[in-house]
Amino acid sequence: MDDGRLDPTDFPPRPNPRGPASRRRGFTSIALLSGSALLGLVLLAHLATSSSAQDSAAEKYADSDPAKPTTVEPAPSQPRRSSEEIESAAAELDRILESRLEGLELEPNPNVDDTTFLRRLFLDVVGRIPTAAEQAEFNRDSKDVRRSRWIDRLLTSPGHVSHAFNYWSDVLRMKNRLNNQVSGLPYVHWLKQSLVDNKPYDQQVKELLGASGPAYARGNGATGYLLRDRGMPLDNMATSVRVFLGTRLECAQCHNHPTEPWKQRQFFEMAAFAGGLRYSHLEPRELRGYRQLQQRVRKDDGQQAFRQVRRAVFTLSAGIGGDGNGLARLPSDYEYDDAKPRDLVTAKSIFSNGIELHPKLPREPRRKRKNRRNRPVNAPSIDSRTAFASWVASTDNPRFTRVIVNRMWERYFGQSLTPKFDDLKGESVAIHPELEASLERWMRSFDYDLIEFQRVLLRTRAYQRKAFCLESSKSRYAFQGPLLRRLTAEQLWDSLVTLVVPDLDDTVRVEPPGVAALYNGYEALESGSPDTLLATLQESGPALTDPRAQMRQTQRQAQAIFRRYHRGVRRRDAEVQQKARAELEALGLDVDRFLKSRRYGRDLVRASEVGQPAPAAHFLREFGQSDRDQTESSHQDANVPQALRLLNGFVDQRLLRSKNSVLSTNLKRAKRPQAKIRTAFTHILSRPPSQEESRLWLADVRQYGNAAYQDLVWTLLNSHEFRFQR
Amino acid sequence: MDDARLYLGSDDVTRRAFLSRTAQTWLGLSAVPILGASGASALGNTSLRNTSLGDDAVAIPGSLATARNVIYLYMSGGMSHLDTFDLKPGTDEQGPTEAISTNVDGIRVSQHFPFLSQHMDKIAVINSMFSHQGAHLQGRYLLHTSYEQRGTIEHPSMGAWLSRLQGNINPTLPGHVSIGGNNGTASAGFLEPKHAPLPIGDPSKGLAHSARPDAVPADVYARRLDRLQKMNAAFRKKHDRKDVRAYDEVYDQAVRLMNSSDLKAFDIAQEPDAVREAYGRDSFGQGCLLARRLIEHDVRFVEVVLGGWDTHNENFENIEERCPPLDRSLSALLADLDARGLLEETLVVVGTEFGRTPEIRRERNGRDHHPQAFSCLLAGGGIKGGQVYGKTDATGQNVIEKQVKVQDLNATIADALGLPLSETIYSPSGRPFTVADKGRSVRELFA
Repeated sequence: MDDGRLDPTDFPPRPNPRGPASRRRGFTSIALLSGSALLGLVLLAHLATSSSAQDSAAEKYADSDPAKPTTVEPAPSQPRRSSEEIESAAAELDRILESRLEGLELEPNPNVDDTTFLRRLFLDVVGRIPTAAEQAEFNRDSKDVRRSRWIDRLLTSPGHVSHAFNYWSDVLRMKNRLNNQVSGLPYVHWLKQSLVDNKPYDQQVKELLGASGPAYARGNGATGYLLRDRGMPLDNMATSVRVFLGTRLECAQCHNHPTEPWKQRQFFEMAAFAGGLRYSHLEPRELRGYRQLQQRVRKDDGQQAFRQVRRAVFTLSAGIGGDGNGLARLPSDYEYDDAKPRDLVTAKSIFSNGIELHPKLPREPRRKRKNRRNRPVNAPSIDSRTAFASWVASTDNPRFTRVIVNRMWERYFGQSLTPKFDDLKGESVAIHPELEASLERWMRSFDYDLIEFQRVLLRTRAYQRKAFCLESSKSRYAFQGPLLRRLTAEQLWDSLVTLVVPDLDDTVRVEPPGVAALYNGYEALESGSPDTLLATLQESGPALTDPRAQMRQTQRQAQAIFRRYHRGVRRRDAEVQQKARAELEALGLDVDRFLKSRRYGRDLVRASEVGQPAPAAHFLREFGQSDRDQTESSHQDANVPQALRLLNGFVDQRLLRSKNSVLSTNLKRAKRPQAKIRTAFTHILSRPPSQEESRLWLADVRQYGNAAYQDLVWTLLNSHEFRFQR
Repeated sequence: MDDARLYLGSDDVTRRAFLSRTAQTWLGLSAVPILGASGASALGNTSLRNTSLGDDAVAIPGSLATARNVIYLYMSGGMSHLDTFDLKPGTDEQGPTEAISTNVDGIRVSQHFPFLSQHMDKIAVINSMFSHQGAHLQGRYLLHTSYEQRGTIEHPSMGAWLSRLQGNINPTLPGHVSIGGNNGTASAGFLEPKHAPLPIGDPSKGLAHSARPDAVPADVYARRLDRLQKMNAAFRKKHDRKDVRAYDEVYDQAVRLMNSSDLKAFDIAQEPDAVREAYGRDSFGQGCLLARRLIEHDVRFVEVVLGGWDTHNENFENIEERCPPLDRSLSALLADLDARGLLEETLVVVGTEFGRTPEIRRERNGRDHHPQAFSCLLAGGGIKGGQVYGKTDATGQNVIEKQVKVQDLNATIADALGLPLSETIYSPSGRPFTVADKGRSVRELFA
C-alpha cells in the first residue's frame, strides 16, 4: 500500500509566525506522559488558552458578532464535575434501567471482567485496542478505582479526540476538499479544535448553523458546514434537521409528507431561515469588482498573472455571506391550495417550540417574462440564520436533546434507546422512555458537556456488563448489556497500526497540515480592495496564493535531506545525522515525528490523520469509512475485498514482514515459547490465551518451529474476535 | 474447512459437484430451452454465445427470460434528462444544449453523444421515468431496491435477488459485482450475506490481494486457514449472529476466489491496449470493460457507477464534462458486446435516481432534483432498439404518456432475467417482499 508517493500529511505545517510553536507539540506530547493524566490536562488547557489569544482574524470575527464566537475558549476538557456527582447520575440511570428490566422479566447481564472491559473501553473511547504497556499499567492500578480512573483518563486523551473526530466526520461529512474546490481543512480544523476544547454540543451546533464570514479566516472553519452544500441550501437544511433534530423533512421538499404531518409549505418556511444565503462572504458588489480586476489582468498581463489573481480572489472570497432574510420562494409546480406557485413564504419553524419571523415582504417587480420566475429573493438581512441556529440548539426544542442522548447512548451500547433516532416520528417511543427522559435531564444539567455526559454513561453498571449477543440469545434486547459489534473501519485501522507504530496517538494533530498557509494567505490579502490586491500580490510573491506548491517544495527538500540523514545512519556518522536534523528543523519540521514516520511508514498514522475521507481504495474505505457525501453513511458490512486484504494484504505486508513493528519487537523480546504466545494474544486480542489455546499453539511451535508464531499472529488478526468488540 | 482443501488443489470434485448443483438451480428456475446450452457453458466454462434465450418455453409462467446477464450503468447524482435524451429544443428550459440526429430516424440526442448517436438502433430510450423520491439517498435506494427506505429493514438490490432466486453459475466467482459504487448502492439487504455484491473500487487494479503471498507456501497457508477456522468456530458458537456469519461467508468466498481459474476475469490488463483505449482510460470506461470480462466468466449482474451528475451548479459545464465518458464507454461496450455475440443475452441498463429541473436556476446556472420526469436506457438482452418509449410535456416537467415508475423499470429488468415477479420472499422477520415491489414489466420494450 505504500506506493512511494509523498504524503502531504507527513508534514507538519510551518509554525504560525504569530503563534507559539509549542502549541502543536503540546498536544501531541500528551500520550508520552502516560500515567500523568493531570499534566496532560494542564497542557491541554495551556494550548487552548494560548491559541485563543493569538489570532487577530478570529478575534475580529468574534468581535463583530458576539453570538458567533470563533475564538477558542479556555479548555474545559478536564472533568469539571466531581466524581460523586457523576456516580450519582450513573446510579440513577442504573436504577431506572434495572427496575424496567425487572418489569420486563429480563435479567441484566453479569458484570464484565476487567480484561474484556479494558479492550471495550479503549475501542469505545480512544478508538483502538490498548497496547501491552497500557494493559499492564491498568492491571497495576488498584482494583476498586481503576475503571473510573481510566474512563476519565481516556476521555481527556488525544486518542479520544481522534476517535470522536472520526465519528463526527461521518455525521458532519468532513472533506479535505469541499464543493467548488474550497478547502475543507479549516472545517476539519474547527471540528478537532472543538473536540480538544470540549466545546458544549449546543454551542457547536449553533456555530455550524449560524456560521458566516470568510472560510479561510483562522477560527472560522464552521463555515465549511454550509459551504459543503454549495448551491444546495435546501438539502443542507434537510440534513441539519435530520442530524440535529432526528426529523426527516426531505420528502416534503417535493410534496406533502405522505405519513408524517409535514407539508411542503412547511419545508419552504424552514428553508426561509437561510433565505439570501450566499456562498461568498463578499458583497456581490465587491465580488464584481474583483471579477473585473481579473478580466483586466487577463487582458493586460496575460494568462499567468490572471491565474495568480484568480487564485487570490478565490482565497479571499471563499466563505458564507447573507445572514438570512427569512424569505423563500415556493417552487413553480407548487400544487396545494394554501398558496400559489412561486409565492414568497416567511420563516417559520416546525415543532411545539416553534418560532416565526416576520420580515417585510419586498416589493417584487411584476413578472413579465417566464425566465424571471426564478429570481432570487432580494431583501435585507434580518439575521434569520442565527435565529434558526438558536431555535435548533435550544433546550426547549423537543428533539434536540433527545437526538444527542440517543447518539451518545448508541455509541456506547451499539443501539439507540429510540430506534432510528434520525427518523423520529410522532409515534417513536424509546425502549425505556423513563431512562431516555433521565438522560435528557442530565444532558441539560451538564449544559451539553459531552465529556461529562460520557463519563456518566461509561460509569453505569449497564455499560460495564457482559456484551449481549442479539441472535444467539433468546430473549429480547432491552440493554441487558452493550451489544456485540464489528469495529468501525477506523477502529480496525487504528488497532492494526497500534501493533506497528509505538505511541501511535502522537500522530494526532489538531491543526491539519497546510491549513496555516491558507490562513496566512487570507490574512495577507484581507485588508485589500481590488486596487490594493495587485500590490499585495507583487509584494508577497506567488507562495501566498499557492500553499500547495509551497508544501510540495518543502516535501522535496525534506526528502533530499532525509536521504543524507539515512546515509549518515548507515555509515554510523553522527555528524552527518546531526547536520541533517538541523536542516530538517530549519525547514520547520517536527524532526522526531518526521523521522519516526520514515521509520514506520509514512501512511501509518491514526485514521483521523489519513485524509478526509481516505482515498477510495484505502483500507479504511474498504472496511466501510463513509465517502462523506451523505451523512452517516459509514458501514460495518462484510465483503470479499476486506477478507482478501486481511488474508494477503496488510497483515502480511505490514506486520508479518515488518522487523521493527511494536509487535515483532516484543515478540522477539519474549524468550520462551509460552511467553511469545502470550505476547501475541495480549497485543492482538488484549487478553492472555486460554489454557487450551496455549496448549494448541505450543504443539504447533514444537512441530513447525518459529514459523508457528507467524501463523499465530496471522490467525489472531484474521479472527472474528479481533474485528468484533465484546 | 472446505477452503483449505480447495486451496490445496483438490478442488475439482467439489467444484464440479457445486457446479452441477448450481447449474441445476439455474436451469430449474429459468428457461428450459437453455438447459443444454447454459449448463454446458457453466461446466465447460466457456460461455455459449448464441443461445436464443426465451425462445419459447419458460419455466416461470409469464416471465420473459430474454437475458442472461445485466450490466447496469448507474448515473449517480441524477442525470439531467433535458441535456441527454429528452431534449426540448427551442424552449427557454433547454439552455445551450443542442440536439443531434442519430442513426435512427426521428430519434435525437444531446450533442454530447456523438458516438452513442450511432448506436441508437440498439437502444430503447425511456423518457417517461417517474420516481417519488427527490433526495439522493432515498432516490438511489428506491432505484436499486424498488422499496422505500425504512428504519426497520434493508431491502436487497436486483443482483441479490438474482443470486437468491437463481443462484450463481460460476461457483468460484460472486454472483454480482459492483464497480466504483462505494456508496453502497447494491446490497444483499435482508437476504443472507452470500448474496451480497463484491465491490471493486478501482477497476484497473482488479481484485487486490487475491494472490497468496509468495513467501507463504500452500501448505502453510492451508494450516493457517485451518487454525483460523477452529478459532472462529469457537467464537461463532458463543456469538452466532448474521454479521459474524457474514465474515465466514466472505472468507469462504475469498479463498474460493483465490483458487479460481477465473480470477483472470478481474484482470483487465489482459485486454489489448486498443480495447482499453476504446472503452476510455478513465475509471468508468475501465469499469465497463471489466464488466464485460466478468459477464464472460458467468458473473450475471455487474453494476458500474459514474458519479458527478448532481449539477446544481453550472449544469452545462458539468454536463459537458460528464457526458463524454458515458458516450464513449457505453458505445464501446455496446459495440464490443455485439461483436462478441453477447449483446443478445446481456441487458445493458443506464439508470439514474431522478432527472433535473427544466428550470435553470439563474444565480448558479444549475438544475435541481426532478423526480417527476427523467430518462433511462435499455439495450440488448431482448430489448427492441431504436425506440423512444413514453413522453414528457413541452418543457420536460411532467410525464404525459406511458409513465414508467422506478418499480416498473426494475420489473422489466427482472422480467428479462426470468425472475418471478410475483414470488414472495420472506425476510427473517417474516415480512413478505417481491422482486420489484409489484412493478409491472413494460413488455412493449421487448422485440
